[in-house]
Amino acid sequence: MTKSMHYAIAAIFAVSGVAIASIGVKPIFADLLILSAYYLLLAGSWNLLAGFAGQYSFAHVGLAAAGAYGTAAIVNAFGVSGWLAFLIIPVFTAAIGGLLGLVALRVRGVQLPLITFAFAGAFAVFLAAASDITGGSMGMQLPKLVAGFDRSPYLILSGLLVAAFFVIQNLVLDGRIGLLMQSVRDEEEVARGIGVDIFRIKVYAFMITAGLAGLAGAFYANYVGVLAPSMLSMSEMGMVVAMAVIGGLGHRYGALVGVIVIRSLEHFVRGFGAEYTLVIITAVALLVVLFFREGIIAAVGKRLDRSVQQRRWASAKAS
Amino acid sequence: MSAGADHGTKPMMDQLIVQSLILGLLQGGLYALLAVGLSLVFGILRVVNFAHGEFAMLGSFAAVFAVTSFGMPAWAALIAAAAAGALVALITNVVVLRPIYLSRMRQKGEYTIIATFMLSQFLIAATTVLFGTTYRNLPGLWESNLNFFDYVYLSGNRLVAFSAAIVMIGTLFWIVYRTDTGRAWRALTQSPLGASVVGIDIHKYANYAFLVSGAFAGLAAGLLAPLMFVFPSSGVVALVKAFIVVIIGGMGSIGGALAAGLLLGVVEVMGTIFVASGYTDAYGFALMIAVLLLRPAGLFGKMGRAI
Repeated sequence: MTKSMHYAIAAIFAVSGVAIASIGVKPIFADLLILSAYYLLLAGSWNLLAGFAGQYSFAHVGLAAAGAYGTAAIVNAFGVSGWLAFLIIPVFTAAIGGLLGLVALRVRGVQLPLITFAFAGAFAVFLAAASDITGGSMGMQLPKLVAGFDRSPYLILSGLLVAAFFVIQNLVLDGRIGLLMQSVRDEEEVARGIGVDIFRIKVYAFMITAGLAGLAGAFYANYVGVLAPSMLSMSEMGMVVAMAVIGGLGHRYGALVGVIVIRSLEHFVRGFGAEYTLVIITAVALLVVLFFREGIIAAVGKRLDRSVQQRRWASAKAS
Repeated sequence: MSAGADHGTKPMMDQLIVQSLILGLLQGGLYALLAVGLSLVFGILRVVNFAHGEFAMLGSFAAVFAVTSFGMPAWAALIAAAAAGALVALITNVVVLRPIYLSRMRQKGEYTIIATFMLSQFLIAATTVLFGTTYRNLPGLWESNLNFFDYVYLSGNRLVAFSAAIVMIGTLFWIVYRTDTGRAWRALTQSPLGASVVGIDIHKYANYAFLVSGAFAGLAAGLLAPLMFVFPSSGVVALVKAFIVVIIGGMGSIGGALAAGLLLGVVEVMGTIFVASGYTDAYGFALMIAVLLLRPAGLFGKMGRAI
């Protein structure tokens, strides 16, 4: 696909958000779509960090939770409008992500997931324990962004946020930083040898993706309105990882495909009850991880390539 | 009044320190038992096993069912816990991990993490469906409260758990340094390629390592169960503790895991008693950050390979 096509996809999302809002859908579908936008932002930015920069962080949902709680804090304490949080919070979480990177990236390779996992675990404990600030497991409330029960403003907003995510992803991947990130992922030693400042690139990758996670968190806080520590439970992180991996890690639209697959699965198996939903989703994710290691996009692509080649071969033999 | 209070607080303080030190060491022994298996597997296969906590969780469930459904005595429940943990670990290695490290994909280490992480999520979800989210309890081996020197109070279960943990870790040391299996493990730690050239069967010894790792995790969970509760997501807490221990102690170092486990236990109990209760899990975490900033490879780790 050409560069302009990637931007066209972003534009399609912006337009379709407005279109769906003006047509109007059932509240249950609106909910599904709006929270899918949240997951797309999270899974997409995690894909950017893990799939393109090769840094497998398990603190990503934790950063989104930091963004969400930060939103609630500034809205409640300083009376800032929820809209302003969309500007402030990404900067705030990017700074946290940078600090996290400075500590966690002192080790390399497989130890990074461990450390970020422990970070996220401790943050969850903090949110539950510091009940005087966060409301503990009772949750923390904040006023709605738009009064009333009309979901169409949120639908438009989610379309715009997804579009913004794809634009940022395009800018990163087509720019210099994206190439440097991929060089770090593919051969860290070689990258260092040809003069890439790998530590700085990794910290930048952490900051960019943490900013996106914060954006997702601010959106979540403004839409849902009640925050609880369960927001950053490990099963949430599992969902985000599953979405990125099912679509295909290191593929520009991997997270998009993963979000579509998992969210529609979630929607259709909802009737069985919450526990069964989780079993089915994790089982599907595990099967994809075991048997389609490159994700669905790559598996389908290979299948298509093969059938195209066979057809060519058949037509060449016939003539 | 103030003079009298001062006179009284000094020995009280000492007694509190002794009590919390002992409590911390007892807790730390179990953390070490949880973490050595993780460290062993990492040393041999370079696999960070995110499903380790679920080996522990399934082990404790096996212990509960051994007691409640089959009426076994408490010591037999511990054996059931170890056996269940070992079995699940072996299946994990053969079904999930071996295909990955036999493949030619890049970033294998990271991919095994994703695979074991998804496996752990699946096991938690499946256990929740099968057994529900009820908090279950397991009777201990020595249900009595002991009292030493008038001011040290301990539960018998804690003492049993600690002794078992130390014996098991001692056994592991013996295996690693005195048996052929241990020699093969150490060879694999140093160089998997070199080990296979001199005829060491990687798969066989990887299976052994997973069996031991799962058995230790299951046993640790079975010993912890009388002190805590048994529920499907209990493995997550166990995993966070085990990770903190191996990061502090140094990846792949068994002695490091023992020392770091004890240290973590003491720091947690001391922090809870002397700083603020309610943040128990945060103290170990602060310790981990400090170690990362000062000695990224852990207290006993060597700066590993350049990958």
